[in-house]
Amino acid sequence: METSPSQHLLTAISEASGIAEDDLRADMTIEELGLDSLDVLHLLAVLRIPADEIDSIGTIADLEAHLSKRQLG
Amino acid sequence: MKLTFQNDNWAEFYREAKDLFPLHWKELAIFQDKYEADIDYQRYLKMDELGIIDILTARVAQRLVGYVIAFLQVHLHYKSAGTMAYTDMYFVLPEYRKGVGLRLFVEFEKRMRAKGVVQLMTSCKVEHDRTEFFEQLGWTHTDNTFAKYIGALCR
Repeated sequence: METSPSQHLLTAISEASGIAEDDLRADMTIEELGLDSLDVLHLLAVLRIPADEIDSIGTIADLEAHLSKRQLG
Repeated sequence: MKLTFQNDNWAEFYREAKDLFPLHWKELAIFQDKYEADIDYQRYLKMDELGIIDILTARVAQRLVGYVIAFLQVHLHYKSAGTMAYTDMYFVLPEYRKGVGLRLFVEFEKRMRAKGVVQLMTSCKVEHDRTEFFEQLGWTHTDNTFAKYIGALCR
């Protein structure tokens, strides 16, 4: 079965942050994930989100919205 | 953490940044055993008046937490190419290095584009290598810089 965008996102965030998928919340901010700038860049690259869109991304929910938007597009 | 960006003039910036400079210098200045930090306030002020300096600041709850200062000029070798930006210094307080640097440089590039700047140039210290950071942001690693202190040999 193909991995859903949400699952792909949670897996990528969990791997980047070391936080268990079950402990991730949609309203968690990027800062709360404890990632430095390079970690965030790597995460965006994995999710194929352009780095210059970081200004519209504050939380996990924002990341998910970006993925959903891209899938719709 | 709500992060905000703004362009400051030199005088505004210096009032707050002078408290960050010692941290900045201690972490990044070269030849610290040879000379001390000694900001030329008046010359920066003059450059600001001439419009050839850009000061982008990052704040959290109105507290200055990071900055990028760049000189804007037309390159002597490429007069017709357009204005280019050369970072003079950049810094983020250690306790805010959770993506603030990334957001700061993305904002810096957007503002430079809006000003019609055609090329960005920056550098990083060998001891604080930011090559991967800048390459991930689409910058090209073009140069390595060397320094040699010869003050003790001057007559």
